[in-house]
Amino acid sequence: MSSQRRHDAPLTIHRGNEIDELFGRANPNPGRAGCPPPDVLIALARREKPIGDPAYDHLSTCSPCYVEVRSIQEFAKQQRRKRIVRTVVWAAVAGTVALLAGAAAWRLLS
Amino acid sequence: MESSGPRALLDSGGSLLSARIQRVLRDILPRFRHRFPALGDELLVTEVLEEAGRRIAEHERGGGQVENLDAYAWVTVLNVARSRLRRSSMRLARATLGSDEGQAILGTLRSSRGTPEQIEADILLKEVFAQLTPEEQWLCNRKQLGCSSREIAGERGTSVARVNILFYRIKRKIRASLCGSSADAAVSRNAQPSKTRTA
Repeated sequence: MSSQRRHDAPLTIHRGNEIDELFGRANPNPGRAGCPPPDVLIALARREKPIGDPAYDHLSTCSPCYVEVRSIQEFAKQQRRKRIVRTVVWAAVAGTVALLAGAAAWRLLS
Repeated sequence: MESSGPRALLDSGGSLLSARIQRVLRDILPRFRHRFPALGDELLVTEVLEEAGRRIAEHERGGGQVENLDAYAWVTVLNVARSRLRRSSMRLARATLGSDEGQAILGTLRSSRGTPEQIEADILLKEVFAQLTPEEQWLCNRKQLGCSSREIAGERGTSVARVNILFYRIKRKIRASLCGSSADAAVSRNAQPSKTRTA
């Protein structure tokens, strides 16, 4: 069931990247033979496992798993970017409000 | 099979509409079906005719008998039918294709999966991937997943510069294989028609 869900995962890896294209399409594994469970893929995407972990090697032989891991990473990257933009916008708004309040207070006092 | 239409048309109180109005509305029926083929439901047709009949009766009660009842009834029926078609439920019915029409349209669509170009590209990618050594595959794998050159160098017992150079060469090799093969394919595709012409 989970393998079916993973199989339908959208391909959201960045286009124009030859290595992603290569690893994401060169090794179709329709039967998902030898694929690790989703929590392992998530751990790989977050790089919670050591660099020498053999679980990473599976991604070189299974394009669906590779695409899934890269999709998780891309999604996390997008979320991080959105969070940064939101923080910057809020900081700008807060700064503007503080400036206006300061100007109003200065005018009142003077 | 098309039915001959509603047997009796009723007003809002449940009593029969006048025979004159009923006759005119029945005469309109074939024209109406021709104009609104989407309104195939018998009940809906009866409702439209009854609503039109009620409006005509209402109008005649207030302003006397309509002279050109055929034309008046036709316009009234058109108005009622159009307002029915604008309702959300009818909008969905109009926007939905039947199974036969759906099959016909699906038959004309071009699949975006499993096209010759896609199969060709997949074969090319497999060939290019097979050209990479296990060491190169390992390096690309770790690099793409976000490992730094320093981490990779530490794991493989080599220098950061060597990792960077190797990765650069792999990328160049992949790019050259992909570009070279696609250029070859384009050349062979362009060359084919001229061959047939000369033959």
